[in-house]
Amino acid sequence: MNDLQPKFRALDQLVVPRRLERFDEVAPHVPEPDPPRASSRIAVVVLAFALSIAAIAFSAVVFSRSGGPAITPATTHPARTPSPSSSPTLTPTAPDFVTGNTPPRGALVFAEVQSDSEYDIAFVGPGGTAAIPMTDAWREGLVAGGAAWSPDGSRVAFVVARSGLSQRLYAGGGDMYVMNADGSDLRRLDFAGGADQVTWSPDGTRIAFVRNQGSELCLIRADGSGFRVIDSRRRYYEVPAWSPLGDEIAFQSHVPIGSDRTAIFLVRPDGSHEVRVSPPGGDAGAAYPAWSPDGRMIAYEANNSLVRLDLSTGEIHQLTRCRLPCITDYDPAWSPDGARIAFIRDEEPGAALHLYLLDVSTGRAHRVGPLPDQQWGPSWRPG
Amino acid sequence: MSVDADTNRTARTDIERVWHERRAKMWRSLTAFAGDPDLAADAVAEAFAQALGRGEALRSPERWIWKAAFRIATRELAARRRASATLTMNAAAAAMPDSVADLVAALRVLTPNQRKVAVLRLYADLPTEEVAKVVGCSTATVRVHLMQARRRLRRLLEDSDE
Repeated sequence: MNDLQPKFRALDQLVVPRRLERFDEVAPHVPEPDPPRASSRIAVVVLAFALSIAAIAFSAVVFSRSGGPAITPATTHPARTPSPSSSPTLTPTAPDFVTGNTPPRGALVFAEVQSDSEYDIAFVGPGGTAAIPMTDAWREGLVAGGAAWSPDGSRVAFVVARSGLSQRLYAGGGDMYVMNADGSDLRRLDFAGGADQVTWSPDGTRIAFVRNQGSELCLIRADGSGFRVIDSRRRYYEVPAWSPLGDEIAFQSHVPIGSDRTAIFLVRPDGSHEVRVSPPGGDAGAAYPAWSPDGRMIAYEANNSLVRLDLSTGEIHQLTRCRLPCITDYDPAWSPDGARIAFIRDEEPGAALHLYLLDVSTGRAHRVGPLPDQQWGPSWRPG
Repeated sequence: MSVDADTNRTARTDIERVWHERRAKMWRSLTAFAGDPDLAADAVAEAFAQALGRGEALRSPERWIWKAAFRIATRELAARRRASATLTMNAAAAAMPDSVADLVAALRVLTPNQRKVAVLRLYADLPTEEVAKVVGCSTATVRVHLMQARRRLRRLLEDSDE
């Protein structure tokens, strides 16, 4: 699979300690669970029946008062199956994982910020020293990420997935939501879940994303209708980015299929005319495509540094040169005026991820912050 | 024989199967993660014991045990950090073969999540979706952690080869 696995195979030399030889040495210390007594079982059945009656009565009251179906809390929706014949579904949801914190136009927003084991969407606050959360999905035992702005900056699409305790089912990817920048009008787009990494069409009417562990590149209209798979032949799609001109979607995928090496590809929104645009080279290939606002260039990560590809000439220009203590520069995002590129630098000491801003005309980059947490996927809220 | 007793026996059989098939992989993975074979053995044994205590409540015993073992090891490592600013290597860790010691030393430079994802994906051979379930994050985040872990490890292990 890759050059590191033989290094990990060295672990097979370790001889399992004697204390882990016999199952019975772990098992006898475990008390047998007490079987519930008959009276307890009867009490549980009676209680469950009573709760069911109460729930039905409560739902009837809510329905009759609201004049329509009760709002489905986002955290309790059941597993769904694809239904091509189903009507467009844009589900209003209770905003129980939205903070209401609103990034100003032009602010840098992270698709995902990690604090301890929690993942949410946040924006860079004044002075660049704090990440202000737009979601607090962790309170619901969920993770939020994959955020992308609509081209006019009025709405943000993102993904919420289940996490935490093993009893909670993780859908693999998650459910896609769209909300206004201030957190209002939160809606879930229903199409069977499994979504990740979203990008808007330049006219704001459609959203492309990957699904089912990145095995499918998909499209859906922003109103929740018209879900379809654009392509699945490559079996791995990541970081889709819709061209500002609207005619192509960039993404990264492996070359050859099944390998660890990645390259940048373009495909039309109807799934036709797939073409590879990044040249071969480097130990890991190319990743994280980001369009310039005029649609003429793509910035991406190659050989641990950032480059930009001029699509009209095919020329490649070096944007950053990552040398130790820098490990990797990646995740570029052009500012709406094209003058700057935000990116993440993975650097020593401490395996830290830091936000940097690159001045495209001078080639100089400086660190923003320090921000307290790990963050990924910077984007600019359009002005 | 009651239905409850049968269910508990089935759950115990499932957990015992995981024990026979996966405990060595789990212990070695936890050793790589924690850098301490004794701590790893404690975590794996405790995770299995907790799983047995839950019996029929587990839908996916192997995943539950992976999560519990990492949680126990992480908690113990945090307790040790609080107790002592500098972690000292115990005798069992010092007796590791050089190739394992190099790997463990390189892994210690990673963040806990990078380390966890690298061990689960590159050694335990869990698919990305399953790694996401064990770690408790999105599959996209697993890929980011894995990319960062790979790049760091390549550099660190290349240096140690020289």
